[in-house]
Amino acid sequence: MPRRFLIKCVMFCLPLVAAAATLEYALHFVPTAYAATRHALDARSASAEVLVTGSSHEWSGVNVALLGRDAVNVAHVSQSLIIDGQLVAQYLDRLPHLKAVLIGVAYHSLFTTLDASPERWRWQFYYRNWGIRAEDVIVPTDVKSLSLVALYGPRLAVRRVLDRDGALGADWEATRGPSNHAAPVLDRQAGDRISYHHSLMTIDHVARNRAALDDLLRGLAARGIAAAFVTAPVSAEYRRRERSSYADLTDATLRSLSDVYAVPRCDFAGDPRFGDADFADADHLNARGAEIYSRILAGDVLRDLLQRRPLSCAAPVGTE
Amino acid sequence: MLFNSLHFLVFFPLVAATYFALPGKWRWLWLLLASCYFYMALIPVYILVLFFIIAIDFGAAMLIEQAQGARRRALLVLSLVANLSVLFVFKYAGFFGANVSALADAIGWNYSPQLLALALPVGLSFHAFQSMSYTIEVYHGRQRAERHPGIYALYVMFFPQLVAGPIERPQSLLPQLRRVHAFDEARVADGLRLMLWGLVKKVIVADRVAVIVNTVYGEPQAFGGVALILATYLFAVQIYCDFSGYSDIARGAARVLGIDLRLNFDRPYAARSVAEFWRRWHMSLSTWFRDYVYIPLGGGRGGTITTVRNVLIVFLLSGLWHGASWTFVAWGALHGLFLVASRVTASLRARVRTWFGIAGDGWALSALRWGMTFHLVAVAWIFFRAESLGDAFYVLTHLTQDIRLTTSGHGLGVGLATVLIDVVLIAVVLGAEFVHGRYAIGHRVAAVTPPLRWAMYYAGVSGLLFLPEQQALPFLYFQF
Repeated sequence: MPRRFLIKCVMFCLPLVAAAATLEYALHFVPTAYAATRHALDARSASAEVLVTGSSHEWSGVNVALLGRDAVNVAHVSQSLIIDGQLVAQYLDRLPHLKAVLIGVAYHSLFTTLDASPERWRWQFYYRNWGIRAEDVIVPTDVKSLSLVALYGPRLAVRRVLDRDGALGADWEATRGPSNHAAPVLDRQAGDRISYHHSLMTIDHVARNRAALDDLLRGLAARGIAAAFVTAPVSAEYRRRERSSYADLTDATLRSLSDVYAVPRCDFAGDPRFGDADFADADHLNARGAEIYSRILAGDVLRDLLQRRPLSCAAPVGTE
Repeated sequence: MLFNSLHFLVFFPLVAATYFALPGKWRWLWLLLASCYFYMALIPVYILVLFFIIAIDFGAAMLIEQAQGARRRALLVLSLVANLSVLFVFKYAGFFGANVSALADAIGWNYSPQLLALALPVGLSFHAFQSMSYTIEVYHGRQRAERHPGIYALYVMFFPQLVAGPIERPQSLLPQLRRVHAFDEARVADGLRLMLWGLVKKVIVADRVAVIVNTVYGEPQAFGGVALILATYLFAVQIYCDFSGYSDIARGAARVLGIDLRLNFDRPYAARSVAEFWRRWHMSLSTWFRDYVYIPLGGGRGGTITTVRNVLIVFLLSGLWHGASWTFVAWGALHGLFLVASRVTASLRARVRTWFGIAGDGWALSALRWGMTFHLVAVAWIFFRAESLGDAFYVLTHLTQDIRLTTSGHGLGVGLATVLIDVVLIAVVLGAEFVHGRYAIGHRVAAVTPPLRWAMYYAGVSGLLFLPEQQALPFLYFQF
């Protein structure tokens, strides 16, 4: 290939590469939703009484301002039980007033891990904010885990750099769907959503996730902190498409942990108080649904949990 | 691998640079390996399906060439059945099973065929048709059987056109794959310009308007007539920019490597009849059906009824080729009916023109014909895009019923500014295409001063970087 042509190509690409490098550098100073969670935890470590862990279901479905207690939501999109455990463990000694942890367990939680998910690029945020190398695997070939410009795309990357405060709001809006959908759309989405989840779910992950829950609950028990498993609402069609084999294994696993640590479970997945208008998509609550769910958590779960009374929403431990 | 991905941005320069650095005798092998890698970036195991098709048709063609009479015909049938069986298993078995079940249910027979639900190998319809065209050409004696299995494999697998065409003919592609192409800077630059233009059409027009189209067609019952009309027009733009964009990238990439692929689109929305539309839209598929289905059936030689039958068969098959769904069948049927209506009314229309003393097409008549053709095509696109026949009929019957943007408070998924930007981008791109058809705009770009030319390139690249409304979407025609 003639040298003249190569030189032209290099000259053409040079300004683009320089711009990308500058953008990449600037992006590292822009706050993210993960950094916001860390700031919230750090700022309220002296007063926080309740932590909410989990994945996108709790991230979009629990509004801690409505829980009636000083609470911090540490859930995040695709966050696995293993990361939940590591996050709580890191803060356990720094939260002197912590009284309860609501552990979000979705239909897919026990059967998925972040390292086996297409969203494994999220590890970088756990590493950057908490020093956690999320789970076992770092994939250097996944460009999204190596470059923030590649992750956000050039347009969003520029916007984030130019509007640092707006970036946080964008993170929040991007994961909490703003609109309500009619039943036919939710039903169609349910098929896509659950197919996606089933494509990631395998019983091979159950042992690791169970061990992570075991560690988490042991740590909480040692500190005398109450805990409850909560499962966020999903649309009726999503619920209908859930496989009983996965649901039964989740029940059995959580029951076995409940037997050891006396942790109740409240499953709101099929709760009739939630209708189609409460969902952003087939398995995530919208702002309205989150408000209802958060008030239910405050009234039906937290109040009794903190007073060490049996929860009205849970079957008695050992009899489920 | 998607053309509009970072993966391809790394892959293609590496492949091209290595291709020209290698001695001529090894280049076919390099292209074949690159094509395998390109294909395996999607679902790796499905390369075995490709190998199966290649092995069957390579062997069949050799035997066909040596055979005579009935044996020759039997070998061709065997090869076609093998290709069509692969298509049936991966593409149509689920559709067939669902319809058999529904039919059995309707007559009270509790029967449901147990068929495997397999993911469709990307571009299967394209490479199966390309491979079939080879054996058919060998059968007719218009093409010699290829003796080099590697070159033949490359004919089926050549990565620029592997997953969405253009569907090439052996007479055109095979000789080019055997030839050693020297590096030609002007040709490479021309290919890169074509790739950039294809990406612009795909990324900053098709993918942008897809936001509105997907929002409305995802839940048409939630929108009023204005939104349904807007989404239908935008889908007409989306499907054109998506597919012709892919074809441009494919032709550009091949051109960089020294290989010319056939033109697949020639400003189809400038057509003034549905027949002309099909001479300008997805030309490699239309000519495939013309040469291998329509003409063998008798074409237009056997009177009106035979011609009507042949046209309807071709368009029903074309619909089915696009997807195993009744919506695609309806789309094909509609186009068939448009053509039949055009043919049946030809003499009547000629008489009316004579009666009014209209000799040729003035600008007003041209505009009328163009407008009618575009709207007939757009109506047919409703069936192509809708997620079910029910949705398609809903859109069709509500286009003018409720002149509101939305009936449920749902937005279009984008703001007014985005819609206006979309309109400007569409005007620029379709306008440029129209001008290009007359004045070969690519050559004009090549002729301007380097600073201005580079400014145009940077504008294109900046558009690709900053104008997308969402993450990269796969090409629509990948599903076929």
